[in-house]
Amino acid sequence: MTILQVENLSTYYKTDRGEAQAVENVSFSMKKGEMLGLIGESGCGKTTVAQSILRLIEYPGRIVSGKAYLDGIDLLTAKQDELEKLRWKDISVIPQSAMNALNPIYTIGDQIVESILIHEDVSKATAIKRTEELLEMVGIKKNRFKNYPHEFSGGMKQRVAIAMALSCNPKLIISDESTTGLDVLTQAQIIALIKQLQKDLGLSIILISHDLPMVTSVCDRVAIMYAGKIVELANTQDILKHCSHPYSNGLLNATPDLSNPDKEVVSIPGSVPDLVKPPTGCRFYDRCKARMNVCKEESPDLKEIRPDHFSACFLEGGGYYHVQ
Amino acid sequence: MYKFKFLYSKMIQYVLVIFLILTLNFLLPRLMPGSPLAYLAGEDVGLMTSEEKQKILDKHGLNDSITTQYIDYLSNIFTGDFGFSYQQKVPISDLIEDRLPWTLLLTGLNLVISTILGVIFGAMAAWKRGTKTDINLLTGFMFLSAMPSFWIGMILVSLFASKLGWFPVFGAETAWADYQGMERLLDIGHHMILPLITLILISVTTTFMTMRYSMLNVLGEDYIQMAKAKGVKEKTIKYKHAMRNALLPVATVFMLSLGFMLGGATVIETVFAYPGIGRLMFEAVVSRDYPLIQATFLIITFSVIIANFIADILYPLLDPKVGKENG
Amino acid sequence: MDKEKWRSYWKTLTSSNLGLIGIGILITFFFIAIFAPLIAPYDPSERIAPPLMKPNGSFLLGTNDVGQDIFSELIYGTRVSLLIGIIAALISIVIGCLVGVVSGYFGGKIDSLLMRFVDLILVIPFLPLMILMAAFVGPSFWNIILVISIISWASPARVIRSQVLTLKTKGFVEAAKSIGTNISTILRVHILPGVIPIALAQFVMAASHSILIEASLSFLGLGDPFTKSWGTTLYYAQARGAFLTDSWIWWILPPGLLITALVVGFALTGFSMEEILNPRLRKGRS
Repeated sequence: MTILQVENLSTYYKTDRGEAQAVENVSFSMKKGEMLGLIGESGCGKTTVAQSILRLIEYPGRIVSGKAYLDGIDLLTAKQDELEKLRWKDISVIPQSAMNALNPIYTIGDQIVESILIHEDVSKATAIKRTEELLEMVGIKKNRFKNYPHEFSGGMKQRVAIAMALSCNPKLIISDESTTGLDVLTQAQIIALIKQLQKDLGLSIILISHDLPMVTSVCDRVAIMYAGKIVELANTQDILKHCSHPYSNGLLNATPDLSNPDKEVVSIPGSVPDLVKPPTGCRFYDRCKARMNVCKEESPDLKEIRPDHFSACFLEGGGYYHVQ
Repeated sequence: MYKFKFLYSKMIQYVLVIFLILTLNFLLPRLMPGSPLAYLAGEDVGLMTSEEKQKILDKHGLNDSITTQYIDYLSNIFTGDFGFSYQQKVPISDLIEDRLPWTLLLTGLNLVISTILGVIFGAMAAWKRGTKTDINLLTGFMFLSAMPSFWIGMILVSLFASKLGWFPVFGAETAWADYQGMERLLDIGHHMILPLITLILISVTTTFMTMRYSMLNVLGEDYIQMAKAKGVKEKTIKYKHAMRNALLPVATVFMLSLGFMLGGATVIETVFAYPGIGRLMFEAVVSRDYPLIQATFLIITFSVIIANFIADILYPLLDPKVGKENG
Repeated sequence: MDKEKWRSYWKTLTSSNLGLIGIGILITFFFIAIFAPLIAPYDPSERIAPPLMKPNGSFLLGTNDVGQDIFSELIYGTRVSLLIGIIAALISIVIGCLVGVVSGYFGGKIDSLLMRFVDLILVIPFLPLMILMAAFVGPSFWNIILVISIISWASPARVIRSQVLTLKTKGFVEAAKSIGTNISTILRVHILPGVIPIALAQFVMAASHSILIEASLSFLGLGDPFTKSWGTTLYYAQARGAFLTDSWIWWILPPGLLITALVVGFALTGFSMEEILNPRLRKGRS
């Protein structure tokens, strides 16, 4: 069953030089209980996709077009009061940096209780009890309910943020670079916790990250973004074994592999195109090793090259056989 | 305990300030060119016989060693003895007792009202940043802060008291009227309106600017986005999440502007002939009553320090980081 | 900063409307101050007419209580107010720079000592302190400047210190230190160019404050009675009860408007200078 269906989403940011096409024509869908990884380098638009779905884009940004159906309701056209009801009840976030996402002057318990009370018609006592359960679930003792954010470490705050995201049993959770700023060990613990909860509670999660090995280790499917577009979308095994798009290949080659220490790490030469004046053709053209004439003129659409494996490349089979 | 450490370090600072101004006060008449006599006994010192001069010198212990003088000076101050006003021919402490309540009333009200107004307008401007409301408020407050405070008062008196006759021209209550109870209260209120409005007009800008800037910063914080994502209502975000946080820097500025407000009261009380400490200082300046100038300065500074200290004690209520242990 | 940088700085300054208005106001006042003898119809110290005349053809703003021309008094007053403001601001900024740079660059004990002292000064209500000192040193042009600047350096010192601290952590200063460049060269080549623009903006702001403080002190009768500033004019207007009659319109209103205009001129210039230095403000979002 499809829980989220995003169609032709475009979001632009106004800059001094004109509008930057931060997200251009992005479409994807995800199934209930699935963990979808959204991956790409900094500035590729992955966070903008998340914020667009959450309708948190503010001036100078704007959603230009598109639909995002969450369980049949289009989030992008929902009215303000509908939106306030939908948020958190149906879709919640584990934010980019929990250090700053918790209000410094309220206790963490109060902040979780607040989100429950907004959306559910329960007594305060019930909300407090649920909050304590949630805290225990993410590995925080319930007697820390009355502590303020500054009394927690970064990893602990992230756990609080996870508990908060779970507080209204949402249909979809977006984890937006939730582990940035944490040390490697804590990162691994947090990701393991998210994965565990996803399995136990059957959650649907979009995991946004730039860390390819981490995403492929926990996600069912992976979408790779480049310069505001999804270039490849497939289940994790297909991405790892039959990676097709030249950019995805570059990304894989640029990542060290612990199981294969002899692997040579190759970075992708060149830099990301200017999104204010994006190339008419493929956005990866300048840096692509397998580029053709057509790539300069036309922009490739995402097409299914194998069952459930999509790639946006003009090469036959999405480029798979040519880049090997 | 973090809170006590914080208060402790503040207290040291205030003790140092008091020490500094007391020393300055002690040294000023003794370091200035000419005999300190003129500063202690008035300018008709030239007409005195040498015997009379000697008497005054003895009375003030000016023939003692400088350390003895200093110790005497300090012990006098701490027992509430600020010396004698040779112009008004009364002990200075009596004058202060008469005048201080009026100043406290005026500045106290000003403090509360201008802070509330500044916070409200500042939050409003930040919430509507870049809009006409914001720009109008900014421009208005900028012009206001460019005007000399006493001049605003003078214009208000000329217009509303003298020309239109809506308010009394000077004083804190009608002289010789001998009103009682409610009547007296109304009379005092009537006299206070213009000086109070003037003080508010000159004080509100600082709070407004600070609140606006701080609110803008807070609105850009992740936790505001988070509150939105949580589906918190706009109003709740504004008042519960944003404003409370934005108040923290305002509290700090609030303390710094206490001195400004009391200083402002000096000139405003002068314009309205309002019988407070500030007006007393002006009277002392005009008649070159040096002991009185010094005493009023001390009282004003003491008030600022006491108010600061109270604010320091209350501050942790706003900011949990200061309020709790191991902050 | 080199010449090129100054030029672009000036260009940005004049390209903002507010900055342009500010500079325009300042230039006008400088013009009035310099050519005061040519603009003013009379010698402001001379009693040339009956006292307390209403404005008329030959006395634009009437005469004061001793029969001096108020208009001429205000024209000459521009010199006094502007000069006191600028000199006092200059002295406070020089002291502020010295303290700020020493404190920021050397850090440690000197820093904490100096900043502690700055904090102490900032707690004392500055206007009463200035009144106290002005009363003791007596009313004169230079004494007013002395009193204002001896207290006003504290807050610029803080601003400049934090700028020095930022500069100090920049790579090129650490690099220069590590290759053994001597202190005076580091200060001259690396620190000062970063401090000067900030100091300039602070100077403009300090000038606007000094003008207001001077007006207050003069209004309290602590101004030099022989070189009348706008504040002194207001002191006499108040003392002679101008607010009781219609004469407030030409005796009280104009000097206050002049002070406001000059302060606005400095403030606008200062704001746009700070905006250039802090591009984050320019965008209007934080």
